[in-house]
Amino acid sequence: MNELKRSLERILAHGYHILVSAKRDAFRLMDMTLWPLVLFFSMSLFAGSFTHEPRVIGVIVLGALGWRITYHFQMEAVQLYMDNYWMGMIEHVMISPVRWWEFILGGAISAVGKIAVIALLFLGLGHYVFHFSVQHWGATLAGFLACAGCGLVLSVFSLGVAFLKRGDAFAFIFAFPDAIAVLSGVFYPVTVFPAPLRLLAETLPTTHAFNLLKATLGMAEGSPLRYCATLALWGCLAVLFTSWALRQARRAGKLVKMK
Amino acid sequence: MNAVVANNVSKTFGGRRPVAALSDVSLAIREGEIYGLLGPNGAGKTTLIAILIGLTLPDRGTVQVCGLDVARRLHEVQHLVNLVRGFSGVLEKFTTWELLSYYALLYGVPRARVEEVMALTGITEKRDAQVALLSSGWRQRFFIAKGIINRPRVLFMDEPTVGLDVDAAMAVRDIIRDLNRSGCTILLTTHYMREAEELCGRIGLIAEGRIVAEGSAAELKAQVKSDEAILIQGQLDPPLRERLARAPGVLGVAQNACTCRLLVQDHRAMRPVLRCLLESEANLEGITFDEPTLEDVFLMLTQQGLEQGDE
Repeated sequence: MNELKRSLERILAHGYHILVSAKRDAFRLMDMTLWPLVLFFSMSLFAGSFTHEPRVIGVIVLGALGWRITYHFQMEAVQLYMDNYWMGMIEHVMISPVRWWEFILGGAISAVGKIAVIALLFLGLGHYVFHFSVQHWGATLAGFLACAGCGLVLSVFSLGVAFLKRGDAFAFIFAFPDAIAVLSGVFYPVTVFPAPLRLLAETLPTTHAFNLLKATLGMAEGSPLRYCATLALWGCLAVLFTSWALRQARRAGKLVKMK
Repeated sequence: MNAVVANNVSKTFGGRRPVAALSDVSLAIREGEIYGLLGPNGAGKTTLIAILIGLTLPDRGTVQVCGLDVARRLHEVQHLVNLVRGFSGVLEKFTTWELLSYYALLYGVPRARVEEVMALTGITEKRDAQVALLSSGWRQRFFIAKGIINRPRVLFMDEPTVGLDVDAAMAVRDIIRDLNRSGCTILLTTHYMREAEELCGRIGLIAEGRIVAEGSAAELKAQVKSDEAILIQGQLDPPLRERLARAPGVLGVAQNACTCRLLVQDHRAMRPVLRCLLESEANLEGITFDEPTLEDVFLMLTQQGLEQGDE
């Protein structure tokens, strides 16, 4: 019980860290304002110039929001680790009793805060500009939760990469969710892919998470079972990889930034 | 009882050209002492500290801190130790209070402890200042405050006074003494021999990844069997320095910018030294005598230690 309380405090410590950084650095707030809005308007205005079909606008609103959910759940924890690394303080954090999964959950606190803002923006603008409304709140929220689960798994993988590659990891970590999003068919069915890519897409939990979202609009067939199975598979692989990566990083002395 | 024990620790960093950072290092630090680790850049001091606190795994050997095996019970060890480095960066934009609060949460200590460590290190007046904008002296006090936030039983201090002006370094040394008096065991690495002599009960000399000598400052000085050092004002050319090094009774020669320092067994070495100097017709500005310092001992012992190790 005592250890659980301490663990919660360490998770809160990471949330506190992100909050202070965001409070002092307005640039960090762009990822919940300017950048998502650029994505939202470029996609929705492009689609809106061809059709006013509400389901198409719906796929864009829900898909873009689902993508941002995955992105933030993936990125916040790694950003936290990399901040400490770049500022030359990583050894001070890593000698504390912190555990790697506490970075993930600390990042998730910040992700929830940012996504609340983005959801208000996307759903509000979707309603006032395109007259889009969520029809099935329960199923839609479940779809968003599914996207958050994918983000957490990606976050575990990315943290492992950060342990191993340190400063060089960031380009990969940024590119990773975008590549996954393209493969997962955020705005289109994965049946457009050639067979080998389609097969790969079917193994990704993100594909099934976005299908759950699209299913609320009648644009895809959602399968919670497939989602859970692929998430469990990738989740296990991610945990094994990151535990191994941390051991390797300790072996190679990569948790200390030498002078 | 020993607070830190390292047994036959070795570490080689990989890559295309593997580098042996530590070779068969063993040491024992007693509870409540300040143990100094002296060595030049690249000697292995930081790697040894990283292994002792569990940040880096050794290839061979074992480490125990407060009786706990670091490899097996790292999480428990992490509650008992902390680190102060003399060249750490800091998170930008955080104030002293905010950054210490972050560490207080990481260690699960109450926020009141933040005020306490700020008072202990004298940084209460810098509570709302951004740590990144503090002068190096204040910043080092901040790091000490961070280093004691969890009331560590063992504090690892990696060159805590590096780059500080005289006043700031003195203040940091006073804090180190106070910490030690309160029962904290300290492992201190430093380049400054006088600092080690002043603060440390025992000193380990490390060179090229090996501990080449260990003991109190007096014991280390006794190991070189030298009574005197001769200081020759002037720049001696390398052939002359080689001749002096071979002269009877001369234990070692070290040249810096304007002084050549000879460590000799006793005053009888003076005659052959003078003969060498007169024969060389070198342009000298003066000769004086001095007692051997820890710096002399370090130069002699690291040289001898490495030669013995190579045999």
